[in-house]
Amino acid sequence: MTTVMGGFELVYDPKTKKVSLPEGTDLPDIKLELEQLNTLTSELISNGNEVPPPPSQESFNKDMSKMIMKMYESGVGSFRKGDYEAAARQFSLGIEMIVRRLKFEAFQGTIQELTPFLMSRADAYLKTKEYLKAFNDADLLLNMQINAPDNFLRRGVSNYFLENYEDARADYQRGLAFAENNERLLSELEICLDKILEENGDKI
Amino acid sequence: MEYKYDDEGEWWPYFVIAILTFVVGLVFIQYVHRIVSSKEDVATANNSVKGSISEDSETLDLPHKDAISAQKGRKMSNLIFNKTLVFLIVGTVLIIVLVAFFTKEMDLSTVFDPYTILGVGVSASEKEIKAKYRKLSLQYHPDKVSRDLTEKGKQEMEALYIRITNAYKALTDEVTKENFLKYGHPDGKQMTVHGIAIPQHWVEGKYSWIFVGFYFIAMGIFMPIIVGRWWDDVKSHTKRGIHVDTAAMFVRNIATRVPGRLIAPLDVIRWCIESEEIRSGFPHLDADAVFDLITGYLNRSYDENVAVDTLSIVSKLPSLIDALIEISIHLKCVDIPLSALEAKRAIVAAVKPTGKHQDLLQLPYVDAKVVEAQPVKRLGKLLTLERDEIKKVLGVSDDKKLDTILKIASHIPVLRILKAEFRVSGEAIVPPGAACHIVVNFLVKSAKLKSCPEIDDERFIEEESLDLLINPLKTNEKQPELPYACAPYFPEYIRNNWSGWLFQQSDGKVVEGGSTFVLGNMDLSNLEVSQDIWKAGNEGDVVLGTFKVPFTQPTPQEPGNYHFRLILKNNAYYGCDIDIPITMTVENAPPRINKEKFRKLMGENEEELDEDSDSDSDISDPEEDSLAGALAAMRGQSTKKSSKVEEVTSDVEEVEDEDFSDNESVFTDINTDTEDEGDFEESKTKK
Repeated sequence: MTTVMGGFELVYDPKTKKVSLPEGTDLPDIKLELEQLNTLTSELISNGNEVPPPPSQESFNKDMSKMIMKMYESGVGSFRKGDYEAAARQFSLGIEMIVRRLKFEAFQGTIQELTPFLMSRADAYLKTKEYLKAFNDADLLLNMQINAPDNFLRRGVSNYFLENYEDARADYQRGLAFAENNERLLSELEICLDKILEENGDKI
Repeated sequence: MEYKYDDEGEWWPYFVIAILTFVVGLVFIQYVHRIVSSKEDVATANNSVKGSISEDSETLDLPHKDAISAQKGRKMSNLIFNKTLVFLIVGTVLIIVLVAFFTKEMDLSTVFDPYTILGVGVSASEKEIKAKYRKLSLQYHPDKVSRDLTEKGKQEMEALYIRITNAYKALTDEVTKENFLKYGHPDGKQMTVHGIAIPQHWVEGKYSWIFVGFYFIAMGIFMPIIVGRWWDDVKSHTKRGIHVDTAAMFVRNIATRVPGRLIAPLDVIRWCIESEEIRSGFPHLDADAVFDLITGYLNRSYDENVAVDTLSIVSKLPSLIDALIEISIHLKCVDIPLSALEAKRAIVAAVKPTGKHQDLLQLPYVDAKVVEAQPVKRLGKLLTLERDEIKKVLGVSDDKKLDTILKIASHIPVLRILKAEFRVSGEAIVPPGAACHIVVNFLVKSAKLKSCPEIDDERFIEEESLDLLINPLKTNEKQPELPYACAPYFPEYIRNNWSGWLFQQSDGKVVEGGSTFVLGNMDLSNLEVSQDIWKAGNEGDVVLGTFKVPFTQPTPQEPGNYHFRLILKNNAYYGCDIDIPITMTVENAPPRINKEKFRKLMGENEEELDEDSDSDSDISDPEEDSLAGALAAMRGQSTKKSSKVEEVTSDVEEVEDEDFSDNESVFTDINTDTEDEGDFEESKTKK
């Protein structure tokens, strides 16, 4: 079935109950929205009820939480052993599990589960020198307004190694706004300021 | 009183001339003002400013120079040759024709001034008047006139004699004098005539319908058309002069953007391309073609065939970006305003907004490929190198060009911030609920100047005159205006300035009610000083600059530290942005006790009072200590509780930077994280 809506065609498949764009249409924004819509539809269908369960703590999938917790612990284990790559992999797996949670579950719980994973994965990436990935995780955390000084430290260090010294400086300074005497931030800021001077040719 | 129609066609020219001169005069003033204000002489303006750069596409001999001057010339000729000029010419010609052919010499016989007629001064005494009158009457008396005169001549003589007699009477005879003073004529009241500058038969004759028709057309058709056009213009353009559709598109784009995605400067440029201004201004180009032209411009590649379009598109972008900035500030966006400023600067400097070498790429003549392949990124570093090395870094081989580059590079104003703090006028501290502003002390410096001079604390102290107490921001205007920026690739001249906002560190948002702050006045003379003078930093040699940023809200009611971040970006140069954290420490003012009064009341002497205050602090100290102790104890407990997972320690030796090798601490905060997680787990199990 094809419907024309707002200037573009939509295809509805009655079997899978999915809406899609006809092949060859290049509308990335709409494609993303349709994917989100389809996910919600399929979850609603598999749920069986007419309305999705309320996003309460009761409806939060605890079995999933246990599995995720286990994954986290094994990640931390690998991290402690010094196998940072394995740790990063395990944290990524955990994040994938969190992402696969049903969309009608309490988002608050999902976020709480996700934050430690992102923090630890950023740390693992810093150890494996994948600074761009570390930056992305830290940036996501900060965009979620999880303004822990450590997150600023993570993004700052990533920025530092990505050679965005000015950004690193700004990150450290903002972190210090939340914890004025954080020694780690202060020392990293010092290093960063020295680096900026060196880049400027003020210090040889 | 009498109404008189202009049946002989005598008056209407005066009427028309009066109206025409009025209108043409006003239009002329406006026209000249527009041209003069647009044609500010950039070279002279910049030469008068110490530390400015007066290079443009002409002096640098860039490939675009002809296209740019053509673009500027076109703009100028648009300003000069337009409908206004036609109107002015037609109007002036009309006035000249009317004056030359339709006006008659004024008949002054009716104007009566006894002093002029008698040829005496206003202050003349009665005796003098009498003497003069006698002399004149001897000359003009009808009996004394020579007989050779014609009849006409005789009559004129007679009229003149009467006038002289009248004038004499007016100055001597009581009644006549009174008449003259009261009505302006010795014979008493004269008839007042109101002229209507239209012939009578137009209004009352059979052709009156033409006249009525004319009125009808003027009032019924032209007026509505003119007003309608004006209203249409008001409706289709916002207050800032951008098309309403463009403004709507900006709002839509901001509202519907994907939240996780950062809006980069190139995205901002993409949005501007969708604007009504660009689309209707360049209907022969589609969005991608426009984008290609802009990227071509940013890469400084010059194509003669598209130069005209490119330059006129590029010159439209800054005003569009400004409009976007204003909208995004209103919509409380965090990243867009900064990206937009970045985009605007990229356009003005003709440098790609991506990459890390903009500081060097902003210079003229440089070879982008060579620059991007080497590690030097900052002007400061560049200027420490030897000439030959600089040539290699920039990919420039010509010595003359290199001289120009170095001159420009060392004249880009870099700001060294020495002090930045919140201040309340007339107060030593920042009390709660006060009106405050930010004071930033800085030194302008050239990138070639190394290290920073020591500045005496006294030089930071500002005398607080009454004027400054009322408006502390006044000092900003008192400094010299910044010169025109060196932007040889951009087709217009723009004044250099810094603009930006104050952000809250707590949520990263622009401070409520904060409009864009523009720093446009600054003394640049430090750019000319030598390294030695700079290092000495004496008053008079090195100028200490100050600017003040308004803080629109009253300070918070609760004492404590509030953290802000001031970001100001330059509109033309890279490598001189301001990005500083500023802390506002709000304190309760100590109560102001009138010591004298207090002593009298208490019957104490000063020493005791001092002792009292000492003992006060003595009491408060242990209190604080105990409180701090309690807090520490609480913290200690919580840390013990939380350390479920033992702290992961590992060194960062693998990290390539040396600075990090001695740094033994860890990145992981897994313990606290698990605590959070555990909390959630707990709360779930409880329920």
